[in-house]
Amino acid sequence: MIELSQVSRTYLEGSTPVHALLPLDLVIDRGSLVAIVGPSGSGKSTLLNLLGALDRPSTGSIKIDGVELTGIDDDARTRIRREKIGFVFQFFNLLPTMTALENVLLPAKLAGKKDAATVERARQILGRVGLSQRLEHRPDQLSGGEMQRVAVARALMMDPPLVLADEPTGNLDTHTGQEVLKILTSAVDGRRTVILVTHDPRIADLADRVLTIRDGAVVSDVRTQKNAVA
Amino acid sequence: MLSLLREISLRHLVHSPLRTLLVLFGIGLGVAMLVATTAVNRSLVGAFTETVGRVAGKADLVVTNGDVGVPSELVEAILDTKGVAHAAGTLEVITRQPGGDGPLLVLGVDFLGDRYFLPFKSTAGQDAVEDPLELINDPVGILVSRKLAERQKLELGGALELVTGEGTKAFRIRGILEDEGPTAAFGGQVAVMYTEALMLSFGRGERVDRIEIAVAPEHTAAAMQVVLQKVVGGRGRVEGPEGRAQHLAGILGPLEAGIQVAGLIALMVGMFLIYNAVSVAVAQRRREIGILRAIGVSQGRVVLTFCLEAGILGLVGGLFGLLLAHGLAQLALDQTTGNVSQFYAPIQPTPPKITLDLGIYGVLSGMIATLVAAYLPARAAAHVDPVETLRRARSSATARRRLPHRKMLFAGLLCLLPAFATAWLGAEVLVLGFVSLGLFVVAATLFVPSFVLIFRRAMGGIFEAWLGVPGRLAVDNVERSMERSVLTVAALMVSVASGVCIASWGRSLEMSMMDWVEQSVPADVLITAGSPLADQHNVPFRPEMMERLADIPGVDVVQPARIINQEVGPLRLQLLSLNTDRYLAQQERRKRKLKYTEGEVQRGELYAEPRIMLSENGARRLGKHPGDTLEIDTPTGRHKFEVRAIFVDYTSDQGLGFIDRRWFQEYWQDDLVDSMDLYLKDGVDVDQVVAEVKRRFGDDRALFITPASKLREEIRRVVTQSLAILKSTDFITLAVALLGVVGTMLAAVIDRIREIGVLRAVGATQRQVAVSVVAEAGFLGLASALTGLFLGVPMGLVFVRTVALASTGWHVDYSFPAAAAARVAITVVVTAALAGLLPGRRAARMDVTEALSYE
Repeated sequence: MIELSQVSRTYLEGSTPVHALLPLDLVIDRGSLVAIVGPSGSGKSTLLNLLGALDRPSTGSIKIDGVELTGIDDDARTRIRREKIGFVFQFFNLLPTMTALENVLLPAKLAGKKDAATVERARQILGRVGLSQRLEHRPDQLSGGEMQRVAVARALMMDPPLVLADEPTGNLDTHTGQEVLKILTSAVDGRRTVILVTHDPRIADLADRVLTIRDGAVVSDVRTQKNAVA
Repeated sequence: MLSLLREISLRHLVHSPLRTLLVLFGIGLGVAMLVATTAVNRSLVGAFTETVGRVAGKADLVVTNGDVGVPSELVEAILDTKGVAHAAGTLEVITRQPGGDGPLLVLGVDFLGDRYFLPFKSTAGQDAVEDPLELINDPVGILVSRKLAERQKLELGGALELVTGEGTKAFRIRGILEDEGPTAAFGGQVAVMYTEALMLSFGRGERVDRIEIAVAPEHTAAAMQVVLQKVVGGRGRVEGPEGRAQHLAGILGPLEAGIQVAGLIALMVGMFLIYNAVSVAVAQRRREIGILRAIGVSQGRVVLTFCLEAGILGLVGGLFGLLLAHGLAQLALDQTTGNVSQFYAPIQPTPPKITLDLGIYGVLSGMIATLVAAYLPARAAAHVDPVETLRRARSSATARRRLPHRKMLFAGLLCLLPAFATAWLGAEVLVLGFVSLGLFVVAATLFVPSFVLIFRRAMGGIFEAWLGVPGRLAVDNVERSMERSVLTVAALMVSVASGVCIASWGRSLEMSMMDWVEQSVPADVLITAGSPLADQHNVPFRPEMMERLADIPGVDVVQPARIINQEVGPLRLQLLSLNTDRYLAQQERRKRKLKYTEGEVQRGELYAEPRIMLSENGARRLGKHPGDTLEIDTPTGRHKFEVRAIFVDYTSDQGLGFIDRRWFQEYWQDDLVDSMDLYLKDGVDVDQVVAEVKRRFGDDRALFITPASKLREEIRRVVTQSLAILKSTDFITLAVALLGVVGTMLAAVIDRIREIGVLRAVGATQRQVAVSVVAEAGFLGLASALTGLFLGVPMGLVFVRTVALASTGWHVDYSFPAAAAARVAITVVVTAALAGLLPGRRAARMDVTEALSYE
């Protein structure tokens, strides 16, 4: 479960404070697919960064599975990111010198895991996203959709309870985007939550819950009937 | 154009203070090196000119004959020659004060003779100059320079103690001279005595060091030179004062060339730093360049903007370099002066001056180097695709650039041919030696891409196993940024190779000298006064000292050695005279043998007839072989010596002649002794004899008593000292190269900001990110160290067998300086890794969200 209590984020642009996120209380249950929508600059990515322990709130507290994110040092936050959170970015952000398998193994290796079982798990995940034939290919040998599937596999590698995806289909054509989305939605299970930031209302339609943000504030919080991607 | 520069470039310079400072420091050091080395050269040559022409301000011609000097009676003969307006003899003695730290020049002036050349003005004790009778009648009367008096708080009527051939002697101060003309020379360490009193005190016989001549107005110096050479005959050489200065300064040629090359290498390494800095700027401003291109800025203007930006850095860095140059030059001069004074001629150079022309030369060189280095990255900036940069990058994989490493390898192999050819053909031609060194550097640089690729593949697994993901990323990134990695490795490689090259020369020279000392100096104890070696600073003994030393219990034989500078044709040969039979007998007794390259000398041969042995460098320079005749000008005229043998000797880079003391005393009319070499009876304790010599003479004579075992240490010290200037320039080159590593890694970090953000997002700790940057820098250092060692070997060989041979004439056996090479290599690896700390820290502390949104 994710709990946000009076979380806000204010930046300074020069000497001018910019309120990217106004004080927010929010609880997100386990095992749900949550879409965060809103226009550019509304605060969607700011919220995602805070949830992903990439950024610190100006006020308030954030708890993931009861673990408080605020007030802990960088190493502890890194550990949380590594073990509890998976990231999928719009621009894939794979390491260009590593193969698909190595990219997926990256979080595990950073955690010091490099045993055969870990490698086997990485292979399995890549198999699940349909890339069992592309294990040894480097990013420049993969298509956009394939790269994003590798990125999703990387996000799932440590079996995190939370996956955060920032415009995961924003750089893909419709068909490829659908495929990636299918993988992401299938990742939601009883213990894993997936939070997507998107502009695309069709993606939002798939979510269990849609949070709309405008000018740093949640202006609507709609729980929907979950739809399966055809 | 200027608005673009003002609005964009200058703001970036201000907003990236670290990068700006790095470049300024790099250019500054390069320019400082170049300017300082030139200033040092000028100071040295100036000091030589001053040394030679101290009282030659009014002289049109000078008569000299090496250290031996010319008979004083020649003054009268010259004055009687038609066309001579004035002539006066001058004597110079270099001595020391007991306990004093520097040499002191004592000028002998004939106050009763032609006073035309007398350039003194006294501030106290005026009578001494205006009415010199009092001084002339006082055999220990002396005048001192104002600077010396002030430095040592000397007063009129007080005493000045000096080391003489007969021990320490107190002189009475009869005047203090204004610091001008000759008294301002030699750093003000100058005193003046009446010539005859000086001859007496220092046992200089009836000879003066030179005779100054002023030619009558109706005659020309050139014509009189011919006339006077006939008058002087073989007893001296008549020449213009500047000719002699040039002749002496020419000896410094190889040293000058070495220093200048070191300066140029520093500037070239500085260029690499600039290349890196401009590359960083281009990487940082890729998007901005895209915008500029999109709104209509032409490629030419982009190139010009970056070049102008670099030019401004070059100008400011150059000016900063001028500030550093003075201190650096002073440091280098201090190191070099001792060397030059010991081996070439005693000099006291004036502090180096950064003159206007030198300043302009330095700043212009800095700016040109900057512009050349900036051009390539500026051109790359101009080719930035506006469409590509204005949309977010699909993947940083697209930014990968490859070098044509196979073609470069092939070109490098091609370069090796002329490199070996010039080394082989130019065994005694300095320029060809430098060309060969340059070709080896070019060839090695062309090999670097292939080496880095192979090395990266070989080390990839090791780095990953050792450091985990950071290690893997480190080696991956080296390959990804091949161009930058190759440049960094090449620059550091040159630094390492230069270090190994210089160390090779030092080690080879030291080893060869040790072997030579072992074989050619069989004495148990060597005694000198004023200086630990018989060089330009030692004060010769009177011959009576021999008997007094022979009285010491345990001493078997005392060998008197006299070593002087003797001009022979174009050479300033060192002439060593010994009791050759005694010497060869001791050699046989101790089972040692001189290393002959041609001919051989048996006992009695050098004594029986005027015969000479020549060192191989001297023989080569004079073109002499056994059986040839060598004519030498002596105070008693020109004499012929039969060349009997050629042998290996490292006493002088100009060459050494070895004759019997009998002929030296007869022809040179000189019985002084520079070094008393003691041979002890079998079983006698050397330390006891040393202690006894010290007890009897040590305090009085400022003696240096050197047991044979200590001689090795002394030689090692001299070799180290002679390399000090080259080593210090090498250190600066290394410092500039390491600044380059900081620049490279900063560029690497900027290139990969987003990637670092991703790494942090997926769970890399700050430490892991920092380690990957430091490991990459360390990898570059390791690759540089290995390539540097590989390059250092042929460079060392070429230096020892070509450049050094051409400079010194010494055939030295090459010896690889394993310890020094290991030290240089480890230093480079460690410092390169350390140079990665700052960029690594920067990468680790990067804000993750900002890094992820970096475009």
